[in-house]
Amino acid sequence: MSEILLGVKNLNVSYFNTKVVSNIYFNILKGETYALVGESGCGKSTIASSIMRTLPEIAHIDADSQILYYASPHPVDLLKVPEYEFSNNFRWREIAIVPQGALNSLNPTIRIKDHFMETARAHNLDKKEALEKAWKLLEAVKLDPHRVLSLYPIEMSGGMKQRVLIALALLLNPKLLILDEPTTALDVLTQREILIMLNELKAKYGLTYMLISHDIALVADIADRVAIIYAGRIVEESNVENIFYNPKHPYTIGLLKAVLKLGEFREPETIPGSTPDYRKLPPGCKFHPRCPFAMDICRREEPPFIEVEKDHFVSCWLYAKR
Amino acid sequence: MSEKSRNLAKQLKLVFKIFSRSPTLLFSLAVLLVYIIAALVVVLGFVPPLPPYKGGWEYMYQPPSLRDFPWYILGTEYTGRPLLLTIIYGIPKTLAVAFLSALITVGVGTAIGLIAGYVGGLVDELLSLAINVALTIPTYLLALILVVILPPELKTNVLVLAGVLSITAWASLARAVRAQTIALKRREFIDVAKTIGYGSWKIMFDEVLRFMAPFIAMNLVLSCVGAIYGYTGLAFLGLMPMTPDNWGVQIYMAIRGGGALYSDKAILALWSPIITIVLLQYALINIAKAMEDIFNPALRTYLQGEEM
Amino acid sequence: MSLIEAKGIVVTFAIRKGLKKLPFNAVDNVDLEIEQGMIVGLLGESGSGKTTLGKVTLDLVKPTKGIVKFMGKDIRKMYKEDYRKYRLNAQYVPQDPYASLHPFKTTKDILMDIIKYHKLVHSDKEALELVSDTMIKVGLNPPEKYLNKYPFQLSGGERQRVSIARALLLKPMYIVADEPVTMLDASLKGAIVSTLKNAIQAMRTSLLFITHEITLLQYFGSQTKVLVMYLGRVVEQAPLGELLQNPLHPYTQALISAIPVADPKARASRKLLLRGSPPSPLSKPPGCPLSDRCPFVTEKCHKEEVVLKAISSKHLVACHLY
Repeated sequence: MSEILLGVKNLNVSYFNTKVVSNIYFNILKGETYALVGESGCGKSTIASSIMRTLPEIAHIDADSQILYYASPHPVDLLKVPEYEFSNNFRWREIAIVPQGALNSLNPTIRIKDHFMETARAHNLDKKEALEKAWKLLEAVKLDPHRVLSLYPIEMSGGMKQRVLIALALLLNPKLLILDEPTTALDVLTQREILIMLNELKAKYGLTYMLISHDIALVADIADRVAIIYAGRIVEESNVENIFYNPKHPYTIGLLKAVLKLGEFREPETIPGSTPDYRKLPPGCKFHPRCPFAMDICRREEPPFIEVEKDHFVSCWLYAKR
Repeated sequence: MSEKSRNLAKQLKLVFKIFSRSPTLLFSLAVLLVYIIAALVVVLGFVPPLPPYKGGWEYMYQPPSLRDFPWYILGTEYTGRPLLLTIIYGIPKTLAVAFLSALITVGVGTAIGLIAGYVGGLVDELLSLAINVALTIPTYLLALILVVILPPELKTNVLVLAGVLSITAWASLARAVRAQTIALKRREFIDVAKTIGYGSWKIMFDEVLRFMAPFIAMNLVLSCVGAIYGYTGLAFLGLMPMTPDNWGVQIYMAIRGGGALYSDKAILALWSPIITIVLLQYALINIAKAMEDIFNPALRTYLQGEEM
Repeated sequence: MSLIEAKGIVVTFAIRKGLKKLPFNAVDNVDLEIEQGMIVGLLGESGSGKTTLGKVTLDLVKPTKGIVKFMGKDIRKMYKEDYRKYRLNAQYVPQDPYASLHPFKTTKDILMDIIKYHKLVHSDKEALELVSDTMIKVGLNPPEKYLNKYPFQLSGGERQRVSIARALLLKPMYIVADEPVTMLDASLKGAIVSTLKNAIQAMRTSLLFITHEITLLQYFGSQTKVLVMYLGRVVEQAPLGELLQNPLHPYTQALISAIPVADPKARASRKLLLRGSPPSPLSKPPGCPLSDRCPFVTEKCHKEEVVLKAISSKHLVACHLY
């Protein structure tokens, strides 16, 4: 259970001269649910797109960035694999992504059955086999295949669409599933069902999850380890208990305080300031303009990423020795 | 107020920047400007008047010559007048008819589409009926008939011609505008507009119309294109009074009177007006495409942002 | 006399299937009363009819049956001046900040337009002052930074603030906020709700806050009156504190237990209480609307209609268990 499945090393992504993701290092272990948490625009979706190699042409990944995939006998750097090979052997076959259902990820002009057929055709899967698989997967996500296959996306509710997207992602038996905000805009009861179902699927198919979310409460529900992302950098990383009961980074603390627990009647506490402009990032620690504990050194130098206790990493001058 | 004029100058600069992105666009803008300047030049009387009619084979379709530079560089046309001059004389009227017709088409089409789409109910039923009837009428046939039955004084009246050419053209625009209005009616900003207390007219002609501004601007220019074809086309069919300043008439006469399809004598008189028309249409069509960029603030400011 | 009083509201829509028109009640016999200066929460999932009910109180949707009264007068039977007073005093903050702002109007255009249309002040200078004051009130400070921006240049949170500013400009007595923060990041929700709360409390405006996230209502205090809706009916009504401590209706209980809790240790204790998913509004089960999913269902629930009954002075529930 503690073998690494995916290792991201020194990931740096820029658009023209603006760096949006900096020095990202993390490992995803086999069978775990690893969560990337951060506000919109922090770079978490960019990291996911880098792994899936679906970044737009204008994005530039540094030559010494690596994304190592450990399934075969020796690790493969996914960034160096030629596109043809990546598309045939890795994309959707080993790693798949479940996009946000709310964002119209389904083609409104074709039926669900054709979504499966198109995906199958794109990956050279036999049509009959694909249909059988689709049937089983739709049942696994608690939908009625007989009814759903002939529906158009517009005839389905948000929860149904999200389940279909999950089934589509599982079509080629991937090992790693990237879940991009899987419950945004869904009702509370539907959210709960989807989360329970995701856990069941993980056990049933032996999956590993990389979860992307802005909602830290959601992450508490299903994640094993969490990385908090701010301005394209990981500011804190640990297992889920440490993040919630022993948060170190002021941003993590801010995120936790921003959400009310059930029965808590108090004034909302927000993180002051707003998300940074990537073209004009401040020097030193990128969070210092919004940090209640900002010190002089925070304004000058970026803090190192250090292990403050076992398996708990933070990037903050409050904990690093100068 | 200087702030308003500063804003206007900024907008114009941006518009120019949009045009200068593509050489085709810049060329098209230049062409249109040349035509407009030529039209102004004619109207203001800076070109010599047309010499009197000179019939007979010695004067018709003479080859180009250098006398009286530059008017005879294309030779003469069927009335013995300098070809280049008659073509230039055709510009103001063509542009006027085209623009007026476009205004009528877009004005009527937009208004009817907006009202039908927004008000709905019986009003929509009646207006849609009108739109459908207008769509099924063969445009050219109607224009033909109207032009034939019009008394000769009105046949050359710019406004009347513009009206005739737009008599059915407004319908397809109306239908598109109506469809868009119906789709927009359900959007939340319409709900908010209602609670804010905006009256129906304001919602229709400010909120909804503004949404369709790029589409309508584009259609305005494209309607000009259609009107020019209609105007010269009617003349080419021989339905307009035979005035030499009409390009369609020139083409007609070059074929009928000059045998341009069989011999080389009137070839210049055939191709010059054709090229004049095609060049103008090409310029207009390119500009129509650019209209969307100009009227859509998202695209406009994207370009502005790039220079930062 | 309440500010807004809605009695016996029924809203019937029809879906066309083939040549037939199938009617269903989006709102099924609901009463709603909002006092002056009061905040009322409307809780429900999609399909519950909450948005439709909110729109009925704003006269954006005409009810098939029932009356809406503003300050005691039936809005259908008002004189022109009275209706105009109602119209300007009933404002709307919709859910999707992008869809509710005109994409081709700058913030300045949107806000100044309202002032000029209603001739609220005498000069452009005064208008700009009024706009700037309102913008500062909603947290868009300094106003100059946001005035000349188009909606696509603003973040989701900023757009929603513009939406709120727009509703506040006419100093209305009543505002309906329909899921105003659902599309925003979890860390921003508190800030926007807080802005809204402070603005309306300063003006003693009444608020109908429609949401599916019960924790958001906690910002308004434990005395906030909350109505829980399911399939067009009100199933429970109580002050928020009472509702959280003592939820009576099985649907409310299910909603509360499904809320994500920022507490990893609480994972094991959370179970799903309701079976299946909400039925389509066309196939509402007879008797109690929850009868096909309720864990406590009895014969009576399938046969007899339920009525809202008062269990205590402020707590009402529509369930055969009581």
